[in-house]
Amino acid sequence: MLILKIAWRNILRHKVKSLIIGIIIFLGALIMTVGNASVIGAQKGFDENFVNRFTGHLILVSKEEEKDNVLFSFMGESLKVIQDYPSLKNMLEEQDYVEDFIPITRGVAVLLGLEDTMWGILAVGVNFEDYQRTFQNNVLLIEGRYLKNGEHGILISTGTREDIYKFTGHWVLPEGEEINVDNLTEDALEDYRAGELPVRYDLVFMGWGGDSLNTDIRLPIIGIIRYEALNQVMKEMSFLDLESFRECFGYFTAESTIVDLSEEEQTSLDVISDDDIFGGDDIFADAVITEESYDIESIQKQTQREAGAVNLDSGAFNYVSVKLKPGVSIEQGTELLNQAIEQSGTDARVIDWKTASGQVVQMAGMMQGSVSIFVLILFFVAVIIIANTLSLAAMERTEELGMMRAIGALKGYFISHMFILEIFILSFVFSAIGIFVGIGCVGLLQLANIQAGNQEMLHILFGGDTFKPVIDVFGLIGGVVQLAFLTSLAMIYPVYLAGKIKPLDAVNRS
Amino acid sequence: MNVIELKDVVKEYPLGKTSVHALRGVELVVKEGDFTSIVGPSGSGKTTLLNIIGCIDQASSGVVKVHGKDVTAMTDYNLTLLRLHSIGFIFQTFNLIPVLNVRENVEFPLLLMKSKNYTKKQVKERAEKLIEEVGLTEHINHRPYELSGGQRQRVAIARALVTNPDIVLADEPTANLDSETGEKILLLMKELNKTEKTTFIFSTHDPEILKYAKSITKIRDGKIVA
Repeated sequence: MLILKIAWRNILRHKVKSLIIGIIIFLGALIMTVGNASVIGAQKGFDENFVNRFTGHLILVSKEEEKDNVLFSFMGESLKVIQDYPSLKNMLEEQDYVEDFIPITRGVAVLLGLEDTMWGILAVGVNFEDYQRTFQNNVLLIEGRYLKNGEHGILISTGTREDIYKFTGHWVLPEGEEINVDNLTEDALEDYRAGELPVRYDLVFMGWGGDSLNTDIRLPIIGIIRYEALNQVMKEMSFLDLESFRECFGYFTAESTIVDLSEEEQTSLDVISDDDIFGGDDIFADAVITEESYDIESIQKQTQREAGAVNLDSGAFNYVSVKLKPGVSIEQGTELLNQAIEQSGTDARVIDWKTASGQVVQMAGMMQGSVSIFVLILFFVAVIIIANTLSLAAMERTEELGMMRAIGALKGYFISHMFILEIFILSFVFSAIGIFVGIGCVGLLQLANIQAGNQEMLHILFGGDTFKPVIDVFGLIGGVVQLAFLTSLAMIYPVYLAGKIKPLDAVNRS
Repeated sequence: MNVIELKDVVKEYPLGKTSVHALRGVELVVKEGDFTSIVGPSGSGKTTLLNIIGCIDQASSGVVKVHGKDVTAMTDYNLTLLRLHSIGFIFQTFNLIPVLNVRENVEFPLLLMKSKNYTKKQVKERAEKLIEEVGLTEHINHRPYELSGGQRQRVAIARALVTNPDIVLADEPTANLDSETGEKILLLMKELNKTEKTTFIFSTHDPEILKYAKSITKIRDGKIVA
């Protein structure tokens, strides 16, 4: 009690110094509260937006796929195809901790036939309606309409449309749509006003980086889209229907796998050898010219196959995005899924979303980390200022401390405890004020609804389209721990200095 | 019984490449219950001698015994405890804790004595008794800045005596006081020497107050001369 009394009265006695130290601690607490809230908000926003709207919690790829960075590799590497997706699908449907999943193909598709320019776009092949359901309708329509399951066509993102215009001079539009001047870029608007804006309603694509079976395919543009969250980060990603994607990238299509043989055909195939078909002398016969006429168009119709309802799930997929039920952690989900895969013998391995997202998430982590480093630098500056002020205070109190030592105060107990208590009281009072003001500032920042605008880096830094700092209990506890560490660090040297003051110093000073 | 014994005590202070000899082979014995004065002109080594006796400075060579124990080899921790339990100090410039009032200043050494386990009541009673003895009951709740020089020195005396020390060291206790107040302080010390049976060693260069001393030790240029 005596130490507490002396410490408290000393704080009041040295008001100016106490206030200087207090203000530094207050600012430290304020900056840490707002800084931690910003980093936590950005991380939460980024994680939620990415997991819920783009990736899911876990990604399943073929066991033969060696890369982990499978989602947003812009270099055009193709991914291995999952073997026997139907088995994998059956296995996933049986897992009660899996909330939803969707199979996806992805790759870089090269645009052909536009002013001798080749331009690649990040293309995703999905059943689009399923994709929207799984990822919280994150895709918003700007022009045209959405792609329906089974329909052939492409949804071009706003970023891709701007890139196409930039590199080819063509403005792409959904079929049957007219130019909406509000959606034109500044340059495109100038071209439009000058009557020099060529328009395309369809595009020719060829898969890039796949096997040697890639083919070019002309697709109608169904709609122009943007993303509700993280659009600036993901604006280059466009959607193809599954069958077109597979054709474009040279995968076997779902349709090509369906061959039902009659019993007679099957019997014939079993008994007829290659020699029976291609051997013998009667393969070639002399042509007989008749005067009969043929209707070429009707023959063509006979040889054309109508596209029927096909089982798309039986075809090729590159990966499956899996969403876990609330309360299931990524570690738990990974472990359970690995067990299920091993038991079912399906061709899949599990990658968590962060690993699968590669550089995009790493960049976000680095940018958010840079905020933490900035706070850390301020932290050390505060430590130096506080330590310096306290050291001066200790030196100024040589007479008082030396006299206490002379009459029996132990340096390791009384003197250091008294100093520590003084700093603790200051730290407690001003940290509390700083944290409360910080919480208020975070509230104001939330109300301010600061937008990231067109700055991609800001989108990554904010973890979304708007700056949403978040106060959470762990963040506050972390801040208190940081402040306790700050003050502990700041008091080491002054306490050491105070302990070094000898009784003789007091006598000499007198 | 000897409470203090000094044998061939030398104290040197380094000064650049040379050194200053503050004490040159001091021999001194102080007996229990003594009221002794160390007299000498300024710079003669009075304060250095008191500091060494009080264990707040160390001799360069020689032997210093307090209650028969050689203190020259003691650790800082043990010296601090020795000061707390056996020695009381009265400084020239009073040296009170500015943030504590009269009662708290007097109680302070008792509260440092964890091993004695004094109750709050005991601490309060002991402090109040001494405050009464030095005549400051009316000012018991005053802070040092609210007191005169003489009153502050009375507080210092009460504080020095509150732990029942064997020895009280007073370095020119009247130097900053007017002659009337100085005399009162000396009389008070003398009375407490009688009532509390405490050994007093005080330094002075004022011949007027020597009449109060039971024994006088004269010091000049770091040597005991009489």
